[in-house]
Amino acid sequence: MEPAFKPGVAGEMVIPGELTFEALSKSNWNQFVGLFGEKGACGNCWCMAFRLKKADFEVGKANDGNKNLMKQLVWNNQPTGILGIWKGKAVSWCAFAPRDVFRRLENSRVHKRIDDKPVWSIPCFFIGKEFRKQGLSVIILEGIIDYARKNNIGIIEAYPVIPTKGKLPDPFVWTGLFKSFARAGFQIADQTSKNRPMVRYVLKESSKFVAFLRGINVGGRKIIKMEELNHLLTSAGYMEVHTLIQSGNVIFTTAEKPVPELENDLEALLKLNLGLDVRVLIRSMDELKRMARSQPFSELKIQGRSKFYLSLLSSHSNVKISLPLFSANKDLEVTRIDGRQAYIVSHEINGRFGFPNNFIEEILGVEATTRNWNTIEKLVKV
Amino acid sequence: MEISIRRASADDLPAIVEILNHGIKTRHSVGYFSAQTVPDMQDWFKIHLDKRFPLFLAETENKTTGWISMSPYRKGREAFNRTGEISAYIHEEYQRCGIGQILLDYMLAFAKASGFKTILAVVFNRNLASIQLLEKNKFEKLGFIPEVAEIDGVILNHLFYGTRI
Repeated sequence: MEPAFKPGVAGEMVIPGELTFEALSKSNWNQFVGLFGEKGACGNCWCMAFRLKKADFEVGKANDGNKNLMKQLVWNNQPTGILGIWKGKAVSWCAFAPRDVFRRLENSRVHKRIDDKPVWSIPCFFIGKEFRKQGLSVIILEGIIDYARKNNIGIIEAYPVIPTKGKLPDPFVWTGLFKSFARAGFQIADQTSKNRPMVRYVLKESSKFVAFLRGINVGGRKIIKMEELNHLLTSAGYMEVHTLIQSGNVIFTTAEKPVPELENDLEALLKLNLGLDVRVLIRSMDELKRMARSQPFSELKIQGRSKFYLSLLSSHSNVKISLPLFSANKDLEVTRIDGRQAYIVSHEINGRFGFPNNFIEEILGVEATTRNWNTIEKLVKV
Repeated sequence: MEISIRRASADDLPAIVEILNHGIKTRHSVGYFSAQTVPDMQDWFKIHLDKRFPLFLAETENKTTGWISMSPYRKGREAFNRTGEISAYIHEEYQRCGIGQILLDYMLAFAKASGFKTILAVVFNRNLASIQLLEKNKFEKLGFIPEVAEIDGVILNHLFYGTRI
């Protein structure tokens, strides 16, 4: 008599070239649930262990709590991780999001931040049972690197295990093995713990930028809530996004890229998601700080009440003008034009201040957006 | 989540028994008909106080999520000194996520370092999860004992798996 059940073949061998990678979203949620199964990968985790306080995570193990929290993140278009899809089925999962999303890492003693560079972390891996032991982890990591490259992510960080030689094997599931990361090109960035290194893959160094949106929230046209704007950029993969006041000022960090390309990217993002044609002007935070240090206003001798403005220009102007340049009724005075910005003083005339944007666009023949100097000072301090 | 492995002491018996009882409940393994208590299992555990026959616990988030044990085969007969029999059980909420594999890797490394040559595992023919784990790790099916047990009116066979290390 033969056994009543024969174990199935461990699983089909995945053909690496056919494995594709996509961010978890509403549209592949069901594949994700299929991969994680009834137990949410393991012990009702649903990939929330690193994202929650321990007590909250424990509570979430019951009644689909963790599953619903993950679903909420996905429905809010937050970055959560990358699925490996083969033949329409999810075979692997890799948690992948900006490091500060993973509370457990931020509180870890072994994996303390080594600098304030914006990094995306891979704290955890999960490969469907029937696809394990096929050497897929390196292919998955290469998929993540490719995804990061396409999405302008600068640095990928992970926390794998190096088995100690000559001793019993260290358990490694979920965080991954160092040798897989090394094979995919990751390098050790910190080794506070000898066998739990921090590894990094640097695609691009990243920088802080400030985007200035032209002509929004004025005169009741092109209304954008700053909260919405923040959320939109964050879900598009921009990091450390902060908005400042309603005039459309957004600080964010992203992999280094020419400013005109970044401007195009953000304009396309606003058009696509909010249906708005908004001109976006961007400066790196370093540039803005230089402007703040070298501003001409403090040296001016000014009589009467005045306000200071910075106009950001869409391009260099070919118009030759001699400075200072006054408007017809002398309420506006252009004191300096310096590359793609103009410094302007607005003088009080009959109890009113002139606003420079239309004036500067007309005389220079380029698009511009203008901010009160106070706003610039606040931005460089954020 | 993270996982760690350590050797069990007598204090761990409640957690060990709890996981064993799940195996009893599903009827796929073990062979007891009703849940065991800690006192019931105290005698059985004594062998694992012996350095050569440990029981290793897997813990995730300070919770015991599985265990693997090494027991003597034909206890006391010197000819079998280099042969051991392993058993593993995984907490029901933590199955299918790789803990069995980790425990098995750990135990095989221990066994090799301790001079064992042959490792056996005896499973019911319907215990597919264990069979898959063993076959994936190059255990061969060496023996088949038909109609050796009966659970809820179903006649079961024993499969002997083994590997040389």
